[in-house]
Amino acid sequence: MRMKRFIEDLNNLVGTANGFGDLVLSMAERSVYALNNLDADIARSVMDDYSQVDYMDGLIEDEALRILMLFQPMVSDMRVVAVILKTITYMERIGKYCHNVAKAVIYLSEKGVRRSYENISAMGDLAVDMVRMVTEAMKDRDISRFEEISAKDQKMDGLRDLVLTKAVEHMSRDPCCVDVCTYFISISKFFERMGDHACKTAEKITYMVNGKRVTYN
Amino acid sequence: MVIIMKNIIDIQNVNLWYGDHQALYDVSMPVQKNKVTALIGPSGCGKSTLIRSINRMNDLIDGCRVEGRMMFHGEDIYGPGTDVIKVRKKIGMIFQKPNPFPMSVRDNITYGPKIHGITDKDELEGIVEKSLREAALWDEVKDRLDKSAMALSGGQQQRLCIARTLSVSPEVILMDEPTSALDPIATSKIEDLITELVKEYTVVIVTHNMQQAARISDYTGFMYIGEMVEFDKTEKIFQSPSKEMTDRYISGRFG
Repeated sequence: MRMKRFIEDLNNLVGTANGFGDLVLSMAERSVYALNNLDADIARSVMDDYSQVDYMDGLIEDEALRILMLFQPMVSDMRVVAVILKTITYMERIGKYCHNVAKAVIYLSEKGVRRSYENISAMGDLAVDMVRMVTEAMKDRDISRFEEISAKDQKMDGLRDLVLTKAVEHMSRDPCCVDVCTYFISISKFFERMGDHACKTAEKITYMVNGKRVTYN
Repeated sequence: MVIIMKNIIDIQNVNLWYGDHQALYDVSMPVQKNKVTALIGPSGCGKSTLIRSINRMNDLIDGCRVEGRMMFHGEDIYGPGTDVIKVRKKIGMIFQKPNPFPMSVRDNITYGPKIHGITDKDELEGIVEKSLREAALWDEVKDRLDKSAMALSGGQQQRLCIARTLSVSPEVILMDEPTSALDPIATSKIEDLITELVKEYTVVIVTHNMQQAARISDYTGFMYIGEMVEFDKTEKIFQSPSKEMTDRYISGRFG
């Protein structure tokens, strides 16, 4: 009976954590769409969703702690609960960066900016790809897809350097665009951080699946 | 798996029968000096049989037969020239149910040393205090050493049994579910005591309490139907064991 309850509670926890991942992934996709189309309405929907992220982060943490208290899970079950406790923090941060991207998009659209930069959009696509990788791996426990995650993270870092160089060039040529450029630099930083957090999440998921410690970034 | 370490006991390919029934199959396991080695597994898996065979308690059972080697300091415990009394002095045992002798606290401790030929009163008094102190019981019983041991609480009786084992200067202490008859507070006292004891002694413990094994042991062996399924560092066994069966047992999915 105790075991049955434990398995039910653990499955519910995993289900809620997967739902949390889906929410964050959807925010990432919409924040990139909002940026590419300078769509303030979509950006607002992303910002609104952050309160749900914050709420679910606390909810899952409470539930995981309750399971630890009641059942003291061990071996692979212990790894699942411990990894969920860690990864919700990374996912919450990713959600926050989506929120920040959305906020910047609203500012830029109000400033009359009508298009994004190719390299920043590419960074957004990479961030979405990486977040999708971890949310899918959390569901199907297939960690083979993480073979590419380090390469994506490196590509992300390269693009960020490029964006920074270009933005500095722009700003030194035309001081009027300093505020807009600063916002674009910030957005590129947010995407780069999203990638980092996705890598950390991938490391934890790998530990959950096979008990091995790995480094992806 | 290769573990390089100083083994005080080395169990090598041990098979054990009770009459026609084989209880252990080709069991091998090292016991490292000054470490706690835990044995876990479902009831009837052979862990008590294995621990009892280390100090030849199974000799007392008719029809019990052992094959393989059980080395203690490089000498076979089952070798033809082995002095069984000496083996049991060097390798003491604590059981599930505290079993003090129905005599005073002091006499419980001096019983063993007297049998082994110590008669000097001061020396015996010294052993009483030292053993009780090592068993973390001295402060609780120092004013009633002449009272019956049967009047002590269950947890105190178990620590008295540990003190009694220590009184004959063993090297290894075998514990067969030493806390399963105790309440949580008495249990945690015994666990603290075990952690202290391994500084001087070597401990092998059988336990059904997974968290206990994880908390106090350095190495853990998982047994199932007479076989040693997996033996490794405790951390590895309880975080990411190599065998799926170990994972399923520890997580409570069978057994």
